Amino acid sequence: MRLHLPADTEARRTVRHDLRTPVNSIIGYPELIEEECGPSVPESFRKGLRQVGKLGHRMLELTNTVFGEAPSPLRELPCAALQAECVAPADEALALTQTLIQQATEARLTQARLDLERTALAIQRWRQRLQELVAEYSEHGS
Amino acid sequence: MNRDMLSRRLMRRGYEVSLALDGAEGVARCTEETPDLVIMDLGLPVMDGWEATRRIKAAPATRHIPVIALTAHAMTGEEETARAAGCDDFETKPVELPRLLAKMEVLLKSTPPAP
Repeated sequence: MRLHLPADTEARRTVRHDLRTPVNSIIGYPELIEEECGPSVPESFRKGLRQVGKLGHRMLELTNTVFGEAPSPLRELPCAALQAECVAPADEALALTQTLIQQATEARLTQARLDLERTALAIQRWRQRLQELVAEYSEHGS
Repeated sequence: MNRDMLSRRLMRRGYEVSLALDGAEGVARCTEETPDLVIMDLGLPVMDGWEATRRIKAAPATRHIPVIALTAHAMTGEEETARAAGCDDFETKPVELPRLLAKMEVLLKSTPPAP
């Protein structure tokens, strides 16, 4: 099974909107947390935030490539391989975010913890929507 | 979630931020508060951002207010549609803050004072 995207522009618009909206949080919250925490937090925590942001950019790139207007070799992959390729950065970002939530909790960084929980939710939302879309638009899907 | 994040980032940079939850509220707030600039999410409930922008730009009291469209609909033609509705500039989500700030500053400096 391979991905077969709808020719309908409106459907493609919706798909990209659904995936780009959570990415806004995945990239933006780590930047905001770093701004708000300033230099008082350990360098390892800041590095973790930047890494989540980088993975968010990777998720954006995948969104644009897989569901974009231009042809992409990624869309030629079997759906299972495509899904694995896309889900990997999300899983890495989620695991890292959960570690950061734990660190923020221990350091009593309440606002940072809340924002990281929002980041985790956005990652889960992106991941789930991506899986739904791959299932929906696989050649043998409904 | 996204609204909260962007407003906090702008407030940290010294902007006073007023939030509206939908397009109709946005139009009403523009009329009441005449802000210096509007960042208009296009995918809003009740009244979408295109219609809200058209109303802001149609009213003599608010037509001078610059509007930056903000959307996750990043497809060819989106910017043209937003500009046709009256938006002065266009930005896609995820927001690249330095680029958005630069666009805001250009519009804030070039906008004539309210009538």
